Order: sequence, then structure tokens, then C-alpha cells
Amino acid sequence: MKTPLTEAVAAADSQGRFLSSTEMQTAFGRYKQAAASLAAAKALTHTPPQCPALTTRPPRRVRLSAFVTSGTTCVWSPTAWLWAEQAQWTTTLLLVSLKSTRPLT
Amino acid sequence: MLDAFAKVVSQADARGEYLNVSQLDALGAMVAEGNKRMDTVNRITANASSIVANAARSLFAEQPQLIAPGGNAYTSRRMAACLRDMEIILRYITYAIFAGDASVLDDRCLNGLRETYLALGTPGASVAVGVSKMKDAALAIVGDRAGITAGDCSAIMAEVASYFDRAASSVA
Repeated sequence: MKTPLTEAVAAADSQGRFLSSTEMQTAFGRYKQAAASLAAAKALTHTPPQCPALTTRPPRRVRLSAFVTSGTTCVWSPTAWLWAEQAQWTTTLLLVSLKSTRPLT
Repeated sequence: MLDAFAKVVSQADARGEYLNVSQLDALGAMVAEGNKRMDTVNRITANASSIVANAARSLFAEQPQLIAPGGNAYTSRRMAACLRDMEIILRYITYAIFAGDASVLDDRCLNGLRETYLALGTPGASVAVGVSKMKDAALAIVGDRAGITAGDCSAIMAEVASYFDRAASSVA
């Protein structure tokens, strides 16, 4: 499998020398793009699941409502259902708690 | 030849799966710490000849039978072959650090090396000692805190050490 990094190594190896600054630059270029590529791959792989429609909003007195389906957590916020994966659950809960200190309309 | 990205992709492809979150996060961490990796490669590359020369000197001081008449590094030609081999191993280790994966080191350097040494009558155990001496020298150079921003480099240091250990154990 060819990548910018393996091509740089192949170029240096074909001449039997250590990596030069040209090949190093290749890696810097790769790393510069990689963060965006990884974010894109993550977004495409882990598409947010559908949370219930707004019509199913919980009763007025409920400040915070959440349920878990197949590893995904849907959380009610004053404006919409949010979703969060298990790892992000704590952060989301905190955010929602802060938000829900305002009275729901 | 694979790099860290291609390795993850080919593993996932072999199982017919998407990349999972932890794999993507690990690659993200590698990208975020890319400067450490490049500094490591740069430092070892810049000091390659001194790493090799000092390791060889120390090896021959420890095992003088190698350079005694009849020894495996006796005569300049065989000494040169020894130094050349150590430099080649070091070069492939820098490639592996650069790519973030050991496949280039395995495929192009270590594969069949033990058999070659056996056929040539080269003492693999001595080569392994030489490699571990290069490891100590390289880690000292990589871990030098002078001239860089202070930070935690334990992960990259451990990775560098693992490539040297891999090379040493494959010829021993």
C-alpha cells in the first residue's frame, strides 16, 4: 500500500541513504493533512444515529432526560435531542446540566 | 511496506470492518505528536556515524576476539563489512521510526538476515550486542533535553527502543 510516508522511505532506500530533509518535508505535509482526513474518516464512519423527533419531548418538569440505545445516548436539551457516544457521555451530561439550569420554555 | 496509517487500514480491511474510534484516535495522537517523531529521526540520522562508530568500538573492546587474528572482524575488509551492516540496520530503524511501523524494517532488512549470517559464519549474538549498544547511544541522543521544547517523549522513546530490540532479537 503506497502512502506519502512509504514513498519517502522507498525513495531514500532506493539510493541506500538515510532520510533527507526532502523526505522529512513529505511527512510534515502528510501530518498537516492527516488531522483533517482522520476527522473526515471518523465523521463518515460514526454517523450520529437518529434521536427521537421533537414531538416526543419529555414533560415540562423534566429538566434532564436521557436514554441509551445500542451504545448511543440521546439526551434532551432545551432545544433538541442531542446524541453522544458513551465516551462523551460525561461531557454532554455536564453541558446539558448547565443548560438546563435555565427554565424550560 | 506499510506505515502506521496503512497498517491500520490493511488490518481493518482484512476483517472487512470500518476503522474503530480507538484506531482513529491512536492515529490522531500520532499526528499530534508528529514533531517528536521527526525530531527523533532527524537526530538519529544526523548522528548515525558516531552512533555506529561508538557502538563498534565498545563492542570490540568487550569482545576483543572479534578483531584478533582469525576473528570475524579481523582484516579491514571484514571490519568494514561489520560497520556497514550496523549502519544499514540503523538506517532501516530510522525508516521504521519515520513510518511509525516496523514492516519496512522487517521486510527489507531483518527478513533472512539471520540465515545470511549463519551461512557466512558471522556471530549473530555479537551483532545483537552491537545493535543494543546502538540502541543505548540512540536513546541517549533522542532523549537529550537540550535544544528542544520540554515534554513527555516516553512513548516515542519506547517505540524507538522496540525497533532496536526487534532487530537485535532477530539476529541473535
